[in-house]
Amino acid sequence: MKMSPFIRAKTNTQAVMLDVIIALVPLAAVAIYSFGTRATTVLGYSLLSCVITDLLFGYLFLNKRKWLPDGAAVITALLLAFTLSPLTPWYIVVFGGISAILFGKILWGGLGKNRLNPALVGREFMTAFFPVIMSDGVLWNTKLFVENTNASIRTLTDNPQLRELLTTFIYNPSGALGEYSLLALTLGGIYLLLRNRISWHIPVSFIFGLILMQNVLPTEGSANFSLGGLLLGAIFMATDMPTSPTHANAKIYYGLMLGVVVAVMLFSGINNVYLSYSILLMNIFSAQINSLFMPTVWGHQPIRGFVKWETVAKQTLIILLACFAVISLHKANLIHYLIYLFASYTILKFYYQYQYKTNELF
Amino acid sequence: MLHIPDKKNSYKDLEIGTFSPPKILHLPLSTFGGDLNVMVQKGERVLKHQKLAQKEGFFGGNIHAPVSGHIGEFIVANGEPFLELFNDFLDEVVDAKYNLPTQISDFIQLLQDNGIEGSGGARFPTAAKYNVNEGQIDTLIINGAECEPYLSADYALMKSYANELSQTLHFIQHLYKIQTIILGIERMHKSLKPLLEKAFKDFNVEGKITLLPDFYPQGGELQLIKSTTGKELKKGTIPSKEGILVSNVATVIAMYNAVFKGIPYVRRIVTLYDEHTNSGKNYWIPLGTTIAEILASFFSETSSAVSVIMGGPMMGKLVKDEKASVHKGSGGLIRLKKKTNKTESCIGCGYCVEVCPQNLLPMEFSKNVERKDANSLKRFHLNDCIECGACAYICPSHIPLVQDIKTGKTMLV
Repeated sequence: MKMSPFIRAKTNTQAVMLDVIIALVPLAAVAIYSFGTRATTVLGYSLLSCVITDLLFGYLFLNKRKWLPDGAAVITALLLAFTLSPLTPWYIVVFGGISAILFGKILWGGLGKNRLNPALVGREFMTAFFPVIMSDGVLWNTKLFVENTNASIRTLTDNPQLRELLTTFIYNPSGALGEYSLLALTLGGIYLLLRNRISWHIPVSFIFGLILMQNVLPTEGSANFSLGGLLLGAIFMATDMPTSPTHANAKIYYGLMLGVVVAVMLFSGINNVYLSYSILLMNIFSAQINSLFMPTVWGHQPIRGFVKWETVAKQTLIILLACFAVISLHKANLIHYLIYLFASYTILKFYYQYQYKTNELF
Repeated sequence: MLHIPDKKNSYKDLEIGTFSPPKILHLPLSTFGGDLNVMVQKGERVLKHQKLAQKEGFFGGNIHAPVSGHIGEFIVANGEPFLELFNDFLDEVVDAKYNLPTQISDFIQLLQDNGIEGSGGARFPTAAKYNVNEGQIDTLIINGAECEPYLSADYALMKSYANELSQTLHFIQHLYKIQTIILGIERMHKSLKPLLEKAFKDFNVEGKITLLPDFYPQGGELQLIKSTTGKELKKGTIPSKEGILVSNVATVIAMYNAVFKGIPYVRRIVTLYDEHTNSGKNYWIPLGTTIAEILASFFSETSSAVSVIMGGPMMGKLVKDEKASVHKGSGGLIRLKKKTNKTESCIGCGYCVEVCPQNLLPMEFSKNVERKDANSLKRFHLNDCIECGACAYICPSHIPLVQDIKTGKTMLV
């Protein structure tokens, strides 16, 4: 080190990633407990495809000569698997894993430079390229394949209240792989909070925004949501470091708007994919929100009053318009074109950026 | 806010050692307002405390001979000029006229003549700082918050020189009609509070001792003003316009020598710390003692790669040339094991924002320096950065933020 400071905190990006992985392990355990080898297959293929893609294309495209995975690919793999049904065919999982890392991260320039959550990018690619299988109701009809059912768990205790708690909060094997245990999700969240890997702002304001909008909008006819899915999104996906704002006020607005967007999508009857749409949509605005809610510099006069409110209102309007656009495209069954467009854009972006750019930090 | 694990508690209470003047001294000629004009010739014999170099106006701290001896060559080390002085070990002191100042103008002249400079690191000339009118200052804040890890020089001064400190503060308080004097010390040094309170009382100093949180950078001037008075001043504000003066403990002790003893600023207290043996101690070191000299007598031989830093580990400067010497702003000389950290991409964790005392977004600086985007740097208020290094300390990607910030500031000029 040639310049101050000459001491550094004992931390690195691997430590950050490791903590997130630790927080995700209980979820994987619960998933394997409920679906056995089916869950292991999905998790395994997701892990393999993500880690290998990361190493291979990091080596080929980003000139990374180290064969040490930084752990971020593992997080992407786990999160991707957690949004999938345990019945997802392995080749689709592999396709999802490859596109998550390639289009979600590598083509953006690698770790930290992506603007969209890689796991969700992979998820959208799967839906766009395998629409028939991915939106088939059969895929979500998982009841028959559960190895440790709710019913068998219920026999563990005679106390009806405990039974209720067991089957709602602790273990409920329905939906995607990461949604089975609210307890495991909460524990993971608490661990990340204690380790300061996430802050409370986004999850809390997200849930608050959602509840608020659920009370404003009529709930009749709106899509159902799973609490597990929402928690998974709120704790692990919306708080993803590179794709969410970096400071308190921006985080609160970001979470709030995420809640609003989710509520609007639910209201318009979008099933299953509402959360990935919403998070990806908000990811796009993350950088703007970050500078819009810039903290007041020490000793400066804070920007208040009409000017502030006007800019915030403008930003909100833009987000809502984008949200309506996504809903319309979804209803018109055109979302896959958006994915094709995105894929072409990332390839072009990579091509131009890496022709002229030498410095790799950002 | 940032808390940095510290090691100074293990050696801060050791008695202050005295470093005997070496055979050859390299007196630093560069100061806050530029280089000094040398008043002596090569080969000339000078007496102890004789003025050797000066600058017109209030923006240069005159330099005096810490020992008697002969003037040697000009030397350039670390890109700065030094004047060589050969010690003759006779210790003949110059015969100087001296009176206790009774007016502000006399006091400022005295500070100027004796080369008093801010001893916290920035080396702002004290005469220029105290060039204010009677009654203009409501609060004098004494900076006893030595937030740099490993450094304990100010602590040792407060512990061993509480009376001298209070006597000087009493004098300044009366001269400037200052309502209150607040001495801020960190909570981890709270054992000093009763001692200092008693000294304040004994010398009739109107004021108080305030305990400050152990956060980095508590000793930053703007942060200290906020913690002691509640006033949040924008960077670049001149505190005296708000009725506030801030001085470092070591500066006040230098003033004591000038005001009550007529001794110019010829030595200062320096914390020496060696990470290799994890040992440290405070020493009175004559100004101009070369780094090489100190290394040879305090630090043991080591085969492992080390870096020597003048100042603290957070804001100090790497010593590239051991011919350079101790100046009035060096509160520490530390030797750390050489470390290399691989820089990675920013992962947007926001830790730098959490620890920034100025409420800035440090990662935006690195990002926009890389893009050479001066407009964005301005928009993110780069010039409000105090370069405390908290962001670079905490960054898990080991991005050299301070380096980028310094580059960015040159882009804004």
